[in-house]
Amino acid sequence: MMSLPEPTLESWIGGEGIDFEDEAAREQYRTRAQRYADAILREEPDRVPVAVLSTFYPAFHHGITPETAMNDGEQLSAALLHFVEDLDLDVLAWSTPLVPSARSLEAVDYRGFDWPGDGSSPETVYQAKEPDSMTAEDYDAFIRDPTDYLIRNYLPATFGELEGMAQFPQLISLSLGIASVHPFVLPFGLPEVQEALDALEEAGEAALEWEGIVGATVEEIVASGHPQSVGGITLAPYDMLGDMFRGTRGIMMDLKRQPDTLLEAVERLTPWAIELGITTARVNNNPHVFIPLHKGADRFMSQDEFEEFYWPQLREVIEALLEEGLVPWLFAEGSYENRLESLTDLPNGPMVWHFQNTDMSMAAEAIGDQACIAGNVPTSLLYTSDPEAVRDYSRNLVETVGENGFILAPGVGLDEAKPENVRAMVNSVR
Amino acid sequence: MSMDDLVHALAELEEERAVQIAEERLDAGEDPLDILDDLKKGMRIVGDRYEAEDYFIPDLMYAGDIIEQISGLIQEELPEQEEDTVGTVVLGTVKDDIHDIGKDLVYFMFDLNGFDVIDLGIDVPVETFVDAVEEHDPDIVALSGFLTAAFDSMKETVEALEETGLIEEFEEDGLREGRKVMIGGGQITDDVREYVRADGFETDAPGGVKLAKEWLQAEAEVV
Repeated sequence: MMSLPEPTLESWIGGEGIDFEDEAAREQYRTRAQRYADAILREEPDRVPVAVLSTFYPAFHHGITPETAMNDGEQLSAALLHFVEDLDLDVLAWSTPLVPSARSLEAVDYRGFDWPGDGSSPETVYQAKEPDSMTAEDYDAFIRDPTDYLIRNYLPATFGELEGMAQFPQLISLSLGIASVHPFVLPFGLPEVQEALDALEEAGEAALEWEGIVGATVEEIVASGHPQSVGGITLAPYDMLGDMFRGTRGIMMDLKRQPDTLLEAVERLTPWAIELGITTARVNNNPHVFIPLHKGADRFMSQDEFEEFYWPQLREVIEALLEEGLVPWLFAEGSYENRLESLTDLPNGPMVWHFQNTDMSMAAEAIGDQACIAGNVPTSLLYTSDPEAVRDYSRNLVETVGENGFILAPGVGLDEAKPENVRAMVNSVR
Repeated sequence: MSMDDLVHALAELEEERAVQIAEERLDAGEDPLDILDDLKKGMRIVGDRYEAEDYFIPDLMYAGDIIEQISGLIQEELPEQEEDTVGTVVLGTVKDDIHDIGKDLVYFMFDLNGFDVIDLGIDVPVETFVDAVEEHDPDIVALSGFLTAAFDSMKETVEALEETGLIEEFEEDGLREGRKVMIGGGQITDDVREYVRADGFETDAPGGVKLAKEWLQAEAEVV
């Protein structure tokens, strides 16, 4: 197997593996990384760090549409450089897969999202569509072999150009010695499988090219002294199942109609969620593992259901990542006020809990002595209000949560916002 | 079998039992309208439990699903009829936003509370809202949206309604006279309401129903 680096918070602070522009850049990087790490470790940073978690904000700020951002890597790169320069960022809370190339998505006819120019208007960000390919009756096949389900059911249903993957050989067929070979290779002779492979080749080349332009710009930004705070990414096992396979309605109905089966599937996915977090962090040589929480918020299930279907499996993921020396960054979308009591049972280790609508004094009170808290300047404020109001909100937040163990950040990843308001947020702690 | 059995079965989310009782009552030749009434009573309990945080969104959806199944049985027997409505609502997810789960819950809760709801769907252009308001003369225009892009679409929609005279000009210090605009969604706050020039905002469906009822009641008192 290919050997990958094993990043830790320590190796990240030291900037290991980064080819810095010059000595000054290295110094700046270390100061910023140390500040951020001190906040995470609750070891009194020199000041509160700011993480401008963003998706399309750099594009809007630079005056290009999301459609341009997804189609023109050079312009997206210019936007990223402009974004970093404008805000003199403590950390770059952005990563290339967050804005993929439209050409790559088109080559495989991805149907999981609408994106600008393909379903959404050019000025609009991409939007998740509810999946509908996995029915309530598909659980047996899914639980038996999730990988096989992904290849031969999920891919053809989710990617218009990959319908031929339904003919992909079952990998277990390889266990039959010489009698395996024909059954395994034969499907690759079929035109529909070949078409799928052609589409994958084209999409792969587009992704590689994107990485060469946009990914290289991110590397350049890091090498100029800005640590990147998004490394790996994974999901809570319940969200994985809901987001990708069953959809919001589907998984909510499963919660009511077939809870035992649902639980089995969620548990089946748990080792995968762990593996995904570890691998993506290692590939990017960056210990910060972003875990956006989608379907566990206060109103999305009862507290008992949270304690059975969501939290134990998520906790297992967090614990396993910590054991690998990684830093989970839990992004609790919506409100988590009812969940705080469960969260007090966190595994030991450095992690960030980023809240959107949760009352921040309640959050700090509940888990502030176990984890670093981040958040929660509302996007509504950043978009519709003025710098003074943003500054007041931000300062008040620092006062509420405390200067130690806090990262100032928008409530959710930024798209549209007034640049003067974003600057006011960033400057409020300087 | 007492009349309350169906109410109870729905309130307790006993799917099979609720459907079975409904079937039996229909087979016995009972008036489908009485069954519909019981479903509404049951749903009111579900709604109350949601507000009390004994029930959650999956429970609302599940109840909705049970009601849908039973309504399917009833529709075959129910003559087309005009129902008395509490009020009329034109509802939709605004332009450039395709999120429908919140909007659908709003539809469901308004419908069950006796409102006549015209659902325009998702990614609804400004002109479609204008046309629908003209056609249906609603008491309330309800705009749903999840993305920040929705803020501007909501604003444009409200402006277009103002320009065509379909709603009054925005009152900085209070509510518009007559037809009102309500906005809702996960990222909606009072700042957004002010930006959009809406009369009110809510972040969940039962809250929206409550607010609508308050408005209608206040309006009735004025008249």
